[in-house]
Amino acid sequence: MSILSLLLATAAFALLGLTTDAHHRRRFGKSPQSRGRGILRTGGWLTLIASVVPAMLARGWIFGPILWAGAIMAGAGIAFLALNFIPARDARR
Amino acid sequence: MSKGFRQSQAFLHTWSGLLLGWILFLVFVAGTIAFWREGLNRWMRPEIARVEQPMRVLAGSQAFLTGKAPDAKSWIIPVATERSPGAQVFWVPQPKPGEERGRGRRRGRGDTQALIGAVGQVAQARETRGGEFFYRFHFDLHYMPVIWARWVVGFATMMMLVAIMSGIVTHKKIFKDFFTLRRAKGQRSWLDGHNATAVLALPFHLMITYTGLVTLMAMLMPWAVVANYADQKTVFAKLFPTAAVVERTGRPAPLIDLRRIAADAERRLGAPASLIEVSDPGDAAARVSVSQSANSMLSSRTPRLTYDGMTGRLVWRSPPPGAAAETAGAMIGLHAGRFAGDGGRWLYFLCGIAGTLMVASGLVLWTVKRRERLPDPTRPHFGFRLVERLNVAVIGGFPLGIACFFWANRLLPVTLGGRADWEMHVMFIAWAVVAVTAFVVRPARMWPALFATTGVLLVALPVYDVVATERGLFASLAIGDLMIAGIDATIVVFGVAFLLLARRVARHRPAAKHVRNPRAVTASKVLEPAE
Amino acid sequence: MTAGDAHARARWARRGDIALRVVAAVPLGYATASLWAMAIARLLPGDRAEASVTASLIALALCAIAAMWAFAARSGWRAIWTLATVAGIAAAIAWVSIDATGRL
Repeated sequence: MSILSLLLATAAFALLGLTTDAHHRRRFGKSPQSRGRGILRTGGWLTLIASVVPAMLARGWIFGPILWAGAIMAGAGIAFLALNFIPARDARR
Repeated sequence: MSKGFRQSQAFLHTWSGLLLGWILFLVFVAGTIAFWREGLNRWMRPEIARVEQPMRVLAGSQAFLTGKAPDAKSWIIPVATERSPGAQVFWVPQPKPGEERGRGRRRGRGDTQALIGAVGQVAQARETRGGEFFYRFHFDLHYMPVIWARWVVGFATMMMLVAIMSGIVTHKKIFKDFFTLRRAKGQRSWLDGHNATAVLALPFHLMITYTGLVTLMAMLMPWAVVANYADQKTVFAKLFPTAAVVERTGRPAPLIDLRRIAADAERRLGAPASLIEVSDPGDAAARVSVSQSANSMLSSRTPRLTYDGMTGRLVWRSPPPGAAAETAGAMIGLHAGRFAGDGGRWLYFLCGIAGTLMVASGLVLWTVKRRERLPDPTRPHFGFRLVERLNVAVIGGFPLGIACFFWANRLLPVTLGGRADWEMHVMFIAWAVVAVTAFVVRPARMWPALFATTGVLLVALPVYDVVATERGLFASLAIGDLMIAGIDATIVVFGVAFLLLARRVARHRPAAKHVRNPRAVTASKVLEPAE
Repeated sequence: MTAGDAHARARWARRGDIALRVVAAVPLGYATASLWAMAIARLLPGDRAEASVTASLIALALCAIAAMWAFAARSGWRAIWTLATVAGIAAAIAWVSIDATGRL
């Protein structure tokens, strides 16, 4: 359950990171269009909210939010490292 | 949000962060290390064995104290765990007739404390403060009365809270900027690094700063209590209740076996006990108070049970705290992180490192930004020079001092009088030497030299441990002592990191920039003072 | 007045404004938060110790907010008099309450 929370948080931040110009361009080869950006942003926030649930299930009402705070920090860090340091496939086809 | 508001908060952020930033760096470094204070208490006493049977230590503590201080006013016995070096017992002697009971009795006086080791005997260990030094230093500092230190740290913490909050509101695109990392772009790269470490662990930074204030709340904000209470003692008794004090009878009576009381307490509490306090041991009016371990719950204000010392009968149980007191206790518990298991402890540690990097990168960012605007880079103004040199002295010097502290722990002779104090003196002497040198030698030379020296000292420590102690990395792993092995491994990792940093800094070649038109400087986007 | 004089005047005016904001943020801000700690501690119903703890927790945040306000206000003088007014209200509340029902 804690791992699930972490995975969801990481995915959420990855999605949110991809809404930014620089990262979208690196991974998809073009600037995000307003529709694509909207989908990524909504998806990112929803996934982030979803990550609360497994954390609360794992540790209850008091330690659940603490676990969630830890998951989103760790998830943000992993997403940050992945987006910035995993080399993008050559976007030029 | 209007542009003017954001600019004003940007200005506030810069200065509330900068002015006491060096104090905040010290607090963050020491506080982050202090998350491992129990482990360091053991690591800095490599000759002692791991505690396997806490009850054996408790029995030994009672036997020792019965022999050493049978008529003491009180005994204080922490319950040993496998993470602690043993039980660091204290006793308070009976006040001599006519002598005022001294307020603020200095803890750590060598003559009324002892470390009882794993087999229940006084541990034959080198005299050292261990990890407690880092814990105490991050709010008591050193070489000054603790009240002053706490006011300085408290004030700096409030400035930190202001810096965090103003940093958040001034940030127009906080998420977008978080993911951005521009490398090798001078000021922009430093800004990205500062943003990343700040925003990444933002929940932690907000929490640790505000809860840090809560730990000092009684001193920093006593006025709400003053508004409701004319007498401080009333509110103290309400918030920190204890069993009624019993007068010493003068009739001697043997103290019950404390292990029986500890077992009964743990059964009633449903959780481990951490502290046992005995008042008037050996007297018919002896009382034994047992506190629940702070590791077992969030709040730092744990339940307490008081027993009759002769019969072992329960005489008092602490009342459940009110919601506000519980909240404050939970905040202190969040700050200390004692509730966290190993995984949580690592998370706290990594977040603390992020915080340290945030503070350090902020301090350096200030000089990098200003340097690009200097009308004459070869003759910067006094403020710039001061900040630049303080950065070297503190960010470069303090870690080096800590490395020297660890080496002093290893190398100082065991028979040296006041050895624990001398370990700390070594640290501050080394740091002072660096600090003075920082104002003489050019920063470009100092940074790589300091980082490289720190790196070498740290990397060499676990090597020394393997060669000269019985608790080297491989020996610890062989007996499954992950705490000690983990500390050695972490020290190596930090040593290597410092060496890599030294190499990076030594190779740094600032890109040649055309000197900007000085008049253009005043029309900068962000509101800054003219100097 | 030469352009140089005007420039120097502007610089000193700006420094004065910042100085006022610092006064507003630090001593006045702390005083405002402390007085509101007292007022809130008096106004909250229920157990007195609980009310004091709650008020103290709130007041710590108020210190930081007061400092932010001191720099967000349109001018240094505005920062001072608005905070002083807010502090005065709290002082009045606390005074009246303590006068009426006393302390434990």
